[in-house]
Amino acid sequence: MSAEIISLERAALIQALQRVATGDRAALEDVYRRTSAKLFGICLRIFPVREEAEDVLQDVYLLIWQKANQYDPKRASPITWLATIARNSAIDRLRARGKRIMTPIENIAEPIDERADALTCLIEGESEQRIFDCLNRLDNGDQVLIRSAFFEGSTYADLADRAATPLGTVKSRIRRALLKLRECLS
Amino acid sequence: MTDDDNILAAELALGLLDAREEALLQARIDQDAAFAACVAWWREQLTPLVNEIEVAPDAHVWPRIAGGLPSNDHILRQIQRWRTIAISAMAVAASLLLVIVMKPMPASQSPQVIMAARLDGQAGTAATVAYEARSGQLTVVPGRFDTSTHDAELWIIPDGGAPVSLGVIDARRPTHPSVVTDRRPLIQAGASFAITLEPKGGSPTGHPTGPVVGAGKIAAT
Repeated sequence: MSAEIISLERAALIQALQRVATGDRAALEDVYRRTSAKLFGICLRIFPVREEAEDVLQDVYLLIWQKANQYDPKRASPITWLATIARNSAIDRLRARGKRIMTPIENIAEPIDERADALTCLIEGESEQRIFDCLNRLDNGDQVLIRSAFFEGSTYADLADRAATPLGTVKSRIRRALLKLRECLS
Repeated sequence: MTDDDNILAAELALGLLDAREEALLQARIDQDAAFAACVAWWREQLTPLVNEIEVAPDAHVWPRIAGGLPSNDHILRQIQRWRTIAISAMAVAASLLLVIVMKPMPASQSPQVIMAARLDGQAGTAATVAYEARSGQLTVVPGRFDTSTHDAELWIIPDGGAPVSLGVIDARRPTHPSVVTDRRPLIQAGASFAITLEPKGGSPTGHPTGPVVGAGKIAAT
């Protein structure tokens, strides 16, 4: 997406959320139409069974309906605010059931690097693209760990189990990678 | 921000920490604006990752969500609404079923005090609620209202105060739920009981979110 489209989309979402805060159901449908694929993607990563992910998604939009008046555009972009609600709802529900995602993470030691083509990065060099570019500069294993944390709500302890790697090793790897990311993103 | 703070903020944004560590850092977010901004920065940076995993939900999902929405509410309107209810409840208090029963008890025991209120709403009596102070037990006799898509939640509203939940009630039969110890002092003359329809499992916010099916004030003694 071009920067212009992103900022138009953002403005439209902010407006829609402000209307949701007044109890406007059509505005919530508008928010849903613009964001449900992203938020459903988040739910599905944590609850891979579609019916369960749909239940979580329903909770998420109910929360949005109830909390829209708390959204402050100065503090977060609308999609970040919405994605945070979706992630937290899904993770809370998972933890409330005493469950964790235990799918093994393999080969994190391999520094195989599937760097995105440098030219592609240049062409798509919008701010939205930067996180992908910067993640691609990390070792493959570090990328996998960070994506698993973000998408699956895995804590350090979960990641250490899933990757069959000592907790201390996982922590120091991720922390090093986070500093590199920070440097690249800034 | 030091490197350590930056890492902490990223760990929080990514959800790498366990619940206890997260709770501790939440306190810091509330007090340390620079740290809060750092966490917000990381969240913004990471958000575009969700573009990687987009999946459109099936068409049947939206109608289900729309059908389950409570009438919207937010804090200001909620308080206004509850004030209105409290005032009108006060005005008709005398007409409601408000009973204080003193049963003769052995002198050594505190008297059994039962407080009761009839919870009236637009569609008639939603329930009759009695409370026995010594045992902390309620008796809830529900009237008729539709709970096929919602749960009925009982609230105690201190005079001039905000509603406090007494839990979801069974709308089909009389029950005797016990009141949590720290909420018992709220049930006294001058306070009101109310029932609202809430999403299944009860209000997710701790405040009433749905329509009021009935409310009634406990009489002054």
